Amino acid sequence: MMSLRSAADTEFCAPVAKQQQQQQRPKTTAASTTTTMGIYSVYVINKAGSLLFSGDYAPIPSMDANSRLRLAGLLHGLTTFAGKLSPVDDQSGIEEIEGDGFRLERFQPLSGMQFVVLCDTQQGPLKPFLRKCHRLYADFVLKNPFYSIDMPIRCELFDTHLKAAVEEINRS
Amino acid sequence: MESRTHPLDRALPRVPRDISLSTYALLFSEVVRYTTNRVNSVPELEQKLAVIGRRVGVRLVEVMAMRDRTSRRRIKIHDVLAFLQTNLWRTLFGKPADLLEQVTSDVCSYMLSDHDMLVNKFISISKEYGDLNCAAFVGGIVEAAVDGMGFPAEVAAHTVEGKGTTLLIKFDHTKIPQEAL
Amino acid sequence: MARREVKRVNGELFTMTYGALVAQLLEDYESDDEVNKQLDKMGYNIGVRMVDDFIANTNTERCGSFKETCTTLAKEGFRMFLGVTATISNWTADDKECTLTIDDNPLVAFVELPDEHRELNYCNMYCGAIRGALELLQYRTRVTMTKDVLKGDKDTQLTITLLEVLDDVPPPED
Repeated sequence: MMSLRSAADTEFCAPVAKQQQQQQRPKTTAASTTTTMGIYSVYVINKAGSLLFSGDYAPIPSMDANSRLRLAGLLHGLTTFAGKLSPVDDQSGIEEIEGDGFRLERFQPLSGMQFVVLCDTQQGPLKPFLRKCHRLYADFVLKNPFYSIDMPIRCELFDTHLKAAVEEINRS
Repeated sequence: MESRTHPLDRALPRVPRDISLSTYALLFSEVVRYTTNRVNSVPELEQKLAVIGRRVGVRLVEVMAMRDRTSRRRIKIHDVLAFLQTNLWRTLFGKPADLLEQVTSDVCSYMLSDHDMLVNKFISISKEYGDLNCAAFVGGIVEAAVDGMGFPAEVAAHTVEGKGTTLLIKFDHTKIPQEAL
Repeated sequence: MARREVKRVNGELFTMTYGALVAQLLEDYESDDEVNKQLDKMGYNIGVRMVDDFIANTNTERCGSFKETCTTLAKEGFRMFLGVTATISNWTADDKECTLTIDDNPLVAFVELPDEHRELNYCNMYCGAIRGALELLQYRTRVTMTKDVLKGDKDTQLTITLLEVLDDVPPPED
């Protein structure tokens, strides 16, 4: 199991205004400007690192299409790299990245599909949510006769169920 | 070469009472995918799905008739419709159909509705497929069933926003005697 | 191993839908061999999709050896998707080939192979599905039917042969 903590201010995720570079991630306090909206966005990436789906669920500036693609590719590259760094053989790649005002959690089941969620720093662990995303993918994407594997996901039922799952998390 | 065992001589196969929804959905999805690749329009797709459904309907009604020897032959349209809504739907989907209504002022047209049509459970219809409803397959099952009971009809599957699928059953009034209505 | 409740569907609807599909294929294609190929292809499409479904509903974490994978596929996979257990046997010395036996094949209930279609492998979809599932798990295999109840055998048997272990190559398109 691998967890990568990064204090670097990545250009991809800036839910709050860009802050100065810091060596230590500051502890979020009640006075911080961190938004507490739960899940910001969800990404579905295939085994090869291609972005198949991205959904935004918070009223924050979202990334443009190209940045999203780069995020998917970069995350995929980082994970492959992490695999090479790890002294352990049977490991699941990067599972978590923390930064200023956001947390990224990644889940990769055996099939190779990757489910990534971006959320605020106060959001609890989202592994169960990511597993649910996987189930929703297995149901509303893979059982759709008009969907071809590795194509961008444009399945209405997947969208609506995922949105409902996100809202359930964000409400609590 | 071994002589082929006659199916009636083979040990009676235990058809599993149930199969997982995932399995059926994956098979049905493949049926739709296969059919989609062989047609050029939505109506043609629905028509071909109905053809496959009809084959299922013919066999299913045979099997149901074998099991239910006590029932008398249904000679009134009302009984045929009740059969569809309860017996057939229960066999197919484990529950009766949600609604059965006659189309106003047409004793030969009826609407059978299912708010959670099983075959459509995981299917999202994108805009380019217009008003496609894959339950045309179920429409075919119904067509075969009513035809087998002596009440031929045309069945079309319609999507009702937020309310699942409605099958519009138009009986052939030229083939139905007045006293059966 | 945690397992979610799976919703059920009438087994006869399943076998009859499969039968109706085979009948349609026999109409659409000239030879039994072409139908066998089509069943295999469709099975493959289903197989590659079954893996995520299986993992999502059983929280499988570990990926074992080819031998372990085949055993899990036969025992747990068949149980989850078809409600029957298949058994794996006859491993070759190099662990690259085995036999999968299905005792209670749900597809063949009340099916009789007509004389003009003696070459039809009615259950060929199993071969494609297993091939697809294994390929998604990075094992390229050849799966063939070796015993068929519709042709007089006692049970349904297939042979799974490992051809190549793939290295991070996504499975080919449908």
